[in-house]
Amino acid sequence: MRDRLETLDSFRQAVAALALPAGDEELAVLWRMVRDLCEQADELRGFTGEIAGEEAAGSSLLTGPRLPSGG
Amino acid sequence: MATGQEVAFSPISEVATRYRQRAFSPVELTRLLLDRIARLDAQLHAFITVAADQAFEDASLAERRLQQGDSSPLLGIPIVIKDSIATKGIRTTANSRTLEDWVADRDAIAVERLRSAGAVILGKTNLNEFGWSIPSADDLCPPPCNPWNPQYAAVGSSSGSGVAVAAGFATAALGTDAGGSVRLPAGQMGLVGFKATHALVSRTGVLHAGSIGDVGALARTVTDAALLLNVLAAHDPSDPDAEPRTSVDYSRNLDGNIQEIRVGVPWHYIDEVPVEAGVRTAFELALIELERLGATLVRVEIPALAYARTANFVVLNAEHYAAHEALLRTHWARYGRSARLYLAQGAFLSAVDYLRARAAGRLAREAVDAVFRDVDLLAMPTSPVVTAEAARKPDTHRRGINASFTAPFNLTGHPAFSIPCGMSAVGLPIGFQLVGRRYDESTIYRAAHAYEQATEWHTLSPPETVAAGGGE
Repeated sequence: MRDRLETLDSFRQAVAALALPAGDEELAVLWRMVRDLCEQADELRGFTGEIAGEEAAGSSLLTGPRLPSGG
Repeated sequence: MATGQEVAFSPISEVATRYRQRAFSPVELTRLLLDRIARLDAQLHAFITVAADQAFEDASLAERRLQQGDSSPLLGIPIVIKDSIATKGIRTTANSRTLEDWVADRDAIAVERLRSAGAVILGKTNLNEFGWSIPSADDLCPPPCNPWNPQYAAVGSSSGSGVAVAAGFATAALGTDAGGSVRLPAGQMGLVGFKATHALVSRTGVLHAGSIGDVGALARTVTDAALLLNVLAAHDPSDPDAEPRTSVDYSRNLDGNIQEIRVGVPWHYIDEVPVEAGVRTAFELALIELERLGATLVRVEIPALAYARTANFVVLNAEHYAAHEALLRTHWARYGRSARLYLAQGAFLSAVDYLRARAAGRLAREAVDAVFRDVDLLAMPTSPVVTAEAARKPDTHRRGINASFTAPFNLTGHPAFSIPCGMSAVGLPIGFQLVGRRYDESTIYRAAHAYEQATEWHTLSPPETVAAGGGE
């Protein structure tokens, strides 16, 4: 969905696809709100620890409470 | 003999004593409050529906029960209900034209418990449409004004509940809180407002409580808040989040002794948030008072709080859109201009966004629990700003800055209370927040009560001339 936020026009098409009958003026406001919201959602990546690398990926996929890392 | 003004602003414990002394009766108090509502609420807009006939029926029943020696804890106490909580026989609109005439066929469990305890339900109170967004002029009912200074709006979303208690229209109120919607209006209107541990109070019968919303209450004193939680706390087997607990008398141990209590203050986080100078000063003075009463202040670090605020906002957006998706498509124009945009924005969050925000919530809860191994309570301002107008500035509101101190604890599920601690330059009250370990509301009550008894903030009420003059 993020790619639909790049321009107001692509956003308008996405809103139409969702069958939400927002008017033109509302679309512009909603577009700003949604971009801001998605930016905030992206900020959480750093906190939930999405780790790169095969070994780290294994740990991040384990079910259950996290074990303390390191010695 | 108490004046009508004194009676209208009396706390629950005082009203109950006067009933027993036969100084006045539930029917007399109900009449007095309905008269005040009729006289003053045209300016303040606390109510969406005033249920006068039902209130008199409740009051007459309470009067008979009193005469029979019934000692139910809320017998004859006039209470109002946020209009997103279902009430049998009184419409529940959520301040939305989409539900303008909807009447539930049963009470929410929290309302049932109030009625069983003898409460008189005066009516349903105003809110931000569906407890979300910011009010707009085309909402079903216009937004409430703050009775302390009606030039300012009352902060929400349980705005009408706060106004009703602060203006002397009711003795206590039910609200809901998914990001601060009970604690923020309580703070801004000089009341005690609480959100107990997640799901300790039943959410059955609330319009879309979602995964992190809770029923809370607003009252004039800490003792009143304890009496209310005594009635409201009950295991709801239909709620998978609810845990069976042994019952607790929250009004016990309000003895003023807080000598051994350790209060953690997350200064690094408070410093990150744009806190207004007046709010900060009031909070610092509250800390000095807690220390003078014997509490030990400890600086704590919880970096997770900033992420928890953001994650709360993401979770609420996703869940609100999911709840309203179908109705938005078919009834777009029936929603207020503000509400439909706030409800629609969650459409653009992905499943990964939502799951990541929930994961952030679990991590934040672990981080807060870890801090509670070293301290008994956390303290911080309730709101960084004083007025609803400041809270609703687009950049502040969209990033959840106004809920910086309240929202994290909806996500983590810890109990959190707002207690009056000061007065701003514009004549609106300021509150501070105490947060406790999950299911340890008693320690919050103890500390809050000791602070309340040492200060006079809870004894203040809006000048009647202001409330009566009203208007903008």
